[in-house]
Amino acid sequence: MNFFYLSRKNLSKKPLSTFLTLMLFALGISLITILLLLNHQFQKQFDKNLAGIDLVIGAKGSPLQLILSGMYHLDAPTGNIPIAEIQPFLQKNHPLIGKVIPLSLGDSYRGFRIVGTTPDFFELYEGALQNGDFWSAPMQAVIGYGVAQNLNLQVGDTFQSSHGLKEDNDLIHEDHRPIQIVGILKPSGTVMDQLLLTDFRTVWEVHDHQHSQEPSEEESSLATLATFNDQSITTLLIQLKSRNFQALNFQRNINENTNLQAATPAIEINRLYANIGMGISLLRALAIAIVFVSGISIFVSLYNSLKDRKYEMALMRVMGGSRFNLFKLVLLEGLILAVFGWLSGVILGHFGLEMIAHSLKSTYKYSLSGITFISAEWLVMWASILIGLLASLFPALEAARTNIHKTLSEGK
Amino acid sequence: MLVTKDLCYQYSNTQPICFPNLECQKGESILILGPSGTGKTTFLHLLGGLIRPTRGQLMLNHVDIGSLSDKNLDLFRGQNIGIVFQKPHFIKSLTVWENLLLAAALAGKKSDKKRMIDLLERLNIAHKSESKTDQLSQGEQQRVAIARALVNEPILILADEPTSALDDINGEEVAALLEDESKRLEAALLIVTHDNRLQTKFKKTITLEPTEKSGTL
Repeated sequence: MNFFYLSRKNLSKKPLSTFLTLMLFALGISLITILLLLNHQFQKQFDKNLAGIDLVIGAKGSPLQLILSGMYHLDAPTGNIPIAEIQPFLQKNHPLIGKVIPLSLGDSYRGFRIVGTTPDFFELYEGALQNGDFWSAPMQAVIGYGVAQNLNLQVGDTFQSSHGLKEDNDLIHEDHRPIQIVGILKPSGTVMDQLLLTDFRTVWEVHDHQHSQEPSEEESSLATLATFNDQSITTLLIQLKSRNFQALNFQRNINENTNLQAATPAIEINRLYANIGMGISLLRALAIAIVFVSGISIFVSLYNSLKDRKYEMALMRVMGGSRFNLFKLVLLEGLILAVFGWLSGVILGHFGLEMIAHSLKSTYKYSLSGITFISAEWLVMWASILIGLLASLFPALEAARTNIHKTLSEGK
Repeated sequence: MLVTKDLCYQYSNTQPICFPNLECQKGESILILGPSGTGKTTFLHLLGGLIRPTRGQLMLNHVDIGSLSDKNLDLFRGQNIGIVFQKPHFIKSLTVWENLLLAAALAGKKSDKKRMIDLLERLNIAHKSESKTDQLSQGEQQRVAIARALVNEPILILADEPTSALDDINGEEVAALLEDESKRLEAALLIVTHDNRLQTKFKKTITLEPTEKSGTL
């Protein structure tokens, strides 16, 4: 017979009240857990996808839209930019620019986005092949791990791209020859997993029906891109040699003196966080309020059961129990409630996020997981224990103060 | 064995209640009688170490109970004094058997399973040991309360109106059990009661008088 057993028995003596308290606590904790994990994973994904890009250049429009479409493949592109206008950024000896990756966006295959680019793209996201090879000519594609998994595609399979970013059979470019899959990438945990990547010329070929393209011999590179002065692409991802005063001027110059737009990912993403941050703070406040109320519920249920058990408390003193024993007993009951509530909340939260992740995956092609744990969750555990202790402190003191003589005389 | 000297207890803002000196040997039984309002329960709680006397001395087995620290008094009470109340109360969430285990655990004693089973059998409630206490009849409950009071083999057994809530048959049985068991343990037995049915059964009685209430402190 130990105190843990007795506490448990006392709690299960009042199953409804105990269940309600546990549910409330678990609900609050699960909300907090989901928020923590979502925040953490979004942040991680966004950071990973940032990939050291300092500047994104595209058509005029919303800078956030430019970043979202060009880097995170979430929004629609702002428009196209003629290669003639971006020639200066394509030159190898540009004093400020370190690396340039061109992107042609706007097509998709069964809901997954097709990106026309150069092999430098793989360097940026540290893409490694799981199967097959990188492309050596237009009309060949390397696909992300997630795409291969979801659409069950193999090396050697072919597909026909579709105009626009939605799955729509009417918009398939039917009159071009199919694009062949030559490689499948290893999972990287970045947006690359959800993309179909191909040479930039593939996108032109698919759209440009007059040019019955003879297979190009030139390599897939920025220098080759620069030779197509009459074509256009969608976006340039740029790594600068250094971020200094000149670099800032460079960005302002583009925005003020050209038809192009240059946006800084870090700034735009911070603005996005600031915007959705409102909603998240509101949710967090709600979760904390629920946990707080459940703390009160622990207090009330312990206090009420204490009133019913006043005689039992006195009896335990008669049987040799000290004041400290009674204090421990009630405190333990509060702790058990808090710890079990926390545990159920964590399980509920991770399970819930896993469900959310499934629905997000199909709509946004972003992969989240409910089965990862982060260190902040330990903080939630300690906070739960603290709440359990605080909520049961007063009832426990009350139990320790039980006046044996008075209680026994009245309880006759 | 049990010796009290000039025991008095004073409730706040009232006259102190003083009690006659008492001496009780091993295996001896004493009935404490008196009409209500004479402080019978207060006397019993003093003897059981549940409250401390405002004046006087209480020696049990050569230990001055009043000199023990709070924590030691709790432990001493659990190990040496068994108390049976008028209405049996238990830890409701536990079974009969678990209530006995708890009594042993709180007194810091190892529970001797075989001795506990023997005790329950002598009290004729062994078959109810897995029942919750509120499923028992009044008579059965009182027998369980006796078992709990005896589980740590106390040297002093106190009973506060143990029979007044019971019918004749059950009351007689409980009184007999208390006496038998205290003889077996060679413990001192003190029964506080106004139940006249018991008076014929016990030789030694002490009567608390209403006049004892007066006195100065």
